Amino acid sequence: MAATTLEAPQKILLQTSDNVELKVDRDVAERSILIKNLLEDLGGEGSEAIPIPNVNEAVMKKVLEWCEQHRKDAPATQDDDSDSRKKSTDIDEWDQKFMQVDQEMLFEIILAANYLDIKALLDVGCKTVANMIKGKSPDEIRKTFNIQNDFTPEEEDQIRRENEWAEDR
Amino acid sequence: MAIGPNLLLELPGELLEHVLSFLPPSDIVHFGRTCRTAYDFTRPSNKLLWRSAFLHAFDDPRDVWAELLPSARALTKTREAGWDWHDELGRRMRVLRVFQDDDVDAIQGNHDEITGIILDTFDTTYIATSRNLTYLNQVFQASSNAERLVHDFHKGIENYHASNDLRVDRSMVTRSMIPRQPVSPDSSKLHVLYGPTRREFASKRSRVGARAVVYDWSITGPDADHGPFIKDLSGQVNWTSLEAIASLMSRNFDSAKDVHLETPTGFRNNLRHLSPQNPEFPGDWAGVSGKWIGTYAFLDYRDLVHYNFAPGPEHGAGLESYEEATGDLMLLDLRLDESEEAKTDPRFRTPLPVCEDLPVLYFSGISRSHRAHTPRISIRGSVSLVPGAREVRWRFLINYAGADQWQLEGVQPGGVRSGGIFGIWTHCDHDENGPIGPFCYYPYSLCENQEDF
Repeated sequence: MAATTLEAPQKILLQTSDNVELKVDRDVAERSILIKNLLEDLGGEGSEAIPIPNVNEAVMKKVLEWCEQHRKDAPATQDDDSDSRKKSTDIDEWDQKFMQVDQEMLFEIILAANYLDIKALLDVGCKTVANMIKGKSPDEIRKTFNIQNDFTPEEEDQIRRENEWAEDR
Repeated sequence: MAIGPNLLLELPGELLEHVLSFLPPSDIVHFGRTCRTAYDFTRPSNKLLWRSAFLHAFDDPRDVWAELLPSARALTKTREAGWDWHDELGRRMRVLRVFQDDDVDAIQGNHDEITGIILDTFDTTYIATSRNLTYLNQVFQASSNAERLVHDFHKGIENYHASNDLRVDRSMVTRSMIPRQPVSPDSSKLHVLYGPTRREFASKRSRVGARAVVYDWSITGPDADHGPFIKDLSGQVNWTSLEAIASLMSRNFDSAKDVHLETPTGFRNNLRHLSPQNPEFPGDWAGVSGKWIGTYAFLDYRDLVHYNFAPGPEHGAGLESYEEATGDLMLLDLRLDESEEAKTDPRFRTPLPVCEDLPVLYFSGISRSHRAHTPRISIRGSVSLVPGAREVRWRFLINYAGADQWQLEGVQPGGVRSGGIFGIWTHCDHDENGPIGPFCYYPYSLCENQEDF
């Protein structure tokens, strides 16, 4: 179908929680299964802005940047979901750079990816957080995530002992 | 330290779980030690979390259970229902710790439990991922004492007073050298699947111990159909006999084989479905079609009689001086035989029950010595499932000079399309006090194509 490839990509409008309208290519926005399903439900008419009440402009722009980069990726298959598979924390280079943001933005991206149903972005976000935990002592994890230690020293000691089997050697 | 919101702990549960699903157990418990909220989240009751932690290190047992034959599956139902990801992970990790700490007392004191966990881990190895093999490898390489679990953590071995000629070096004693002491079937099974240990390979005396079992006429009889089965018509494998046969024959094969061949022992070579099913022969569930290689061993008949009729004060005494001979290396070329004649061949009858999850197969072919200019011998046989659908039972009949000569009755302990077959040969007509000895056959492809496990 040579004709379709010459057409300009179809644009759609998204309205963020802080009432900003963003114009994006439809195929980029459709990386989000939520938006894809909404567009299908609305039929061919794409003139009205689609409200995204849970995501603000700054986060939405960041998410769309990721979708733009990954617009040509194959859609997720059922296989990737297999919970029998050993999960790796490997992240490709572009995604690693993309995720170099402050913690608040990182968690916002995760929540937005979850809400918008963008599985691959959710995975990248969660892997980034997992890598911030990986190989660290409890105290280092506390420092990284601002966690207050509310154990007594005795409790701490007891929990350490009951979990000793899981320590790496 | 900046005081701000705990963004991590404020994540909805399913997202926190998603984050932790990328981490191995050590990181999960470190997270759990940071505060009460994290501790509560990582409690053993969080099944999804501990399942993903388990799967970081081990194969998914559900993949394995799904492929079990109905009779085998029926026997794992309770196990499946009681499966707890956190507890199973803990059990296996604690075993690894004991070996890493080289804690000989703990290994000895918990021998049965550890053996059970190791066997269970092997049994739930999923061949496509084989993470359990990595773990088993780790366990047995962690400590120089690891192999003692396999061959001599028999109760009371430390107090065993060997006769004079055995006392020389107690550390050379292996379990099969302690005659007529009951051994748990699991211990023997572990030994069969693990293969000969380093010490055993080096020890001439441990061969004597194995021979004492193998060349004893009482090892089998009509109610074991002259094979390595329990002599009660149940058709179940006698693991003690199989242990002695496998121990002896994997070493005999190792000395008889050509240098370019390997002896396929060890956990990897006893995995179910190790060889893929040949698409050319869709009915050949057992992987019969193709090349097999193996050998047999025997005592001089006078020695056999002497050993059986005149046992000394120490069972097995004298066997050291008897010359055991290993036969030629025999190369089998087999194909399925679907003729009516094979199905009705009276030589394939058995008084033992077989599992009918898979049909009995019949085959025929030729057996020839790997040396040139030796006559081809015709061979035929049958293959069926041992009750319980785990092990595979093989019968080979050797025919030459116009008559059936020998019956080889064996068990493939790893299961369907796994590795070696070990068993006992006797004369086809089973004369009382006739010659008897052990044999082994391996799929030829496993002998030429070894990986590093």
